[in-house]
Amino acid sequence: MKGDIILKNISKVYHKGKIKIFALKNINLEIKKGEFVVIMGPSGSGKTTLLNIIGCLDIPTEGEVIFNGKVLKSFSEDQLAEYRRQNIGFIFQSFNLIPVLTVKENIELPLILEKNFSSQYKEERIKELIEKLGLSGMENRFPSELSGGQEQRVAIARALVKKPIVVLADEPTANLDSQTALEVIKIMKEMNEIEKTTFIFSTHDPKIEKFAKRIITLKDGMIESDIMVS
Amino acid sequence: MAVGFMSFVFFDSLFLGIDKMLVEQLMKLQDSSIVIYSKEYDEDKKSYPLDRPIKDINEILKISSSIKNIEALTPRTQFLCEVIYLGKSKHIIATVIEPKTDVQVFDLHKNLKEGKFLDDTSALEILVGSALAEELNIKVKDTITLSAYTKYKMLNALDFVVCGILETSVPLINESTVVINFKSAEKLLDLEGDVNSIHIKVPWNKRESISGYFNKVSKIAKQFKEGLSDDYKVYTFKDLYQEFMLLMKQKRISSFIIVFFILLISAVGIVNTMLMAVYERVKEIGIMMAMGFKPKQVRNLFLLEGLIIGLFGSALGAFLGLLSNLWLIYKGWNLEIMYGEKITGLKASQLGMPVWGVIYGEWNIYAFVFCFCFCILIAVISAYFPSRFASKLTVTDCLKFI
Repeated sequence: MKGDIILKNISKVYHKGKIKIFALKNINLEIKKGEFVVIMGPSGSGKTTLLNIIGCLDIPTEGEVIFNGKVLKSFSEDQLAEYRRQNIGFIFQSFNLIPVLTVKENIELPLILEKNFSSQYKEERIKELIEKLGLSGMENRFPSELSGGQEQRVAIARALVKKPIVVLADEPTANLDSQTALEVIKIMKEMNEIEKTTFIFSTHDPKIEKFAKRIITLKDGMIESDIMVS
Repeated sequence: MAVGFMSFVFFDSLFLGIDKMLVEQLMKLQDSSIVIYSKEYDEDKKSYPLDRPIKDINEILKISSSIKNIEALTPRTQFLCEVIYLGKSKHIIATVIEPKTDVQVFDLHKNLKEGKFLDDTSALEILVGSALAEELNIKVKDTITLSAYTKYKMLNALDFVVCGILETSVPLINESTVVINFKSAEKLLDLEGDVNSIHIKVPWNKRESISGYFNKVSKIAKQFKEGLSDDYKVYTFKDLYQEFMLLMKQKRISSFIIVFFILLISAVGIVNTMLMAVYERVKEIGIMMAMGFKPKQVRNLFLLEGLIIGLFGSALGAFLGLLSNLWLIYKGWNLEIMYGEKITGLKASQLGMPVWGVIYGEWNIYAFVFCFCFCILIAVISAYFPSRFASKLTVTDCLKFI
């Protein structure tokens, strides 16, 4: 189905001198469009590596990622960039907003490359997200003038602005207090339901589990459990 | 970058100005713009013969009256002689001048250290170069003896009263020149109204370049060559100072290299700035690549930034260069005020300065064009390598970069 992600026999090996370190071992996974997937596991279990491979930020040592029926392994550097531009939104643990740009400019950044959207549509989309994410009145502020929760909301808006099929979030709540973390997760859940965007995010915060429709637990680079939550 | 640009055009203008002043001084004190000798004299001019004069001065005067752009002309004759004073003596080259017209062509009268200049009527008066006067301990109003061969190869000697001491920026004049008028020369050398050379002054406008002036002088010299018979030899200042001009050309190359180093130093600054700009933003590059920017697009962004920095830097440099050149060309750099005897206690010749007084710069549009292109090129090149480095990083490496 369009928007489904299939991971076949994915392994990722890092070399530290002569020592091989398996970050991921033989991962097989299928994620349907519109799912709200939480990847859990202790530090070093391979959560970030898995997200990076899904988002084509990293290349697996073995195996293949299939998206929309296309094998991404055969893609060139430019094709991978195009794939990311069209389909993926990223949310990072440390927000990664550009400090010299305002809230509005940060949200607008992914749209720079979008030639198919009219400037009116872009304006409306930014305005819509600013309102939905409770950022009204902060459009002209710089990241340094925002709280952690506000910064992460800007990052979410930036990830969603071009209506990607998948949003990948690597520990989006790790730098936030528990109250703000819950708020951010609620917003993500809401966006998942409204915009039917697939959300895949990693965390080791057990309080977030209750929002997930599907919980994948990793241990030592392998899938320990893959549970659908009713 | 802007400072490098400004320094380049400033020093280029200064060096050009100094070159122009050097040529100007040689012309104003020694040979003028155009010199005409008889053909026979020219064949043996190193021995300063007195029996090979210009046959018909009127022929030259007739042509000169039909040529525009000639300010004045004057006759001169040079001869070898011995100066004798209180038991000391020195062999030198003496110059015979016609004071009334000489001051219209040459600036000797402006270079008097003490005493007065010659006039046409007074006989047996003499001007002595300052270094020569010092060497022989000659002072104004002293009586010195000149010994020389006449036109008919007879040795003759006469006493002259020193009326003035000359101090110029040309060492040769200071060290081994005495000047007398034609009235005195008649008595010493039996010249019978002969002159060996005619010196012609072509006005040099303040803003005129060396090459522009040379073209003007060459055209006038050509008119003389065409109008005069084969009995004459016509030289321009460039012909006379061929070796000096060649030396000046080489000096221009070496001064260009020195000034070019200033630009290179500023180029290092630009490269450093661009490298810092890229390294500071590796994480941002990672974010942009994660959003779908292609490596080429990232590279182009940095090249664009380099180009903009280059354009702004060049524009600012051109403006600063223009200001510094305006000051140097119209106001001039007064060496006397900065390094004069009152400040340093040293004379110009002791400081080893080839020129003295107020140095004026020269416009050189090529220096501006060269700097403008060079600064932009350097900015783009220095943006290219770090941007290439940035575009080759993986997104995960960029995001991990602190």
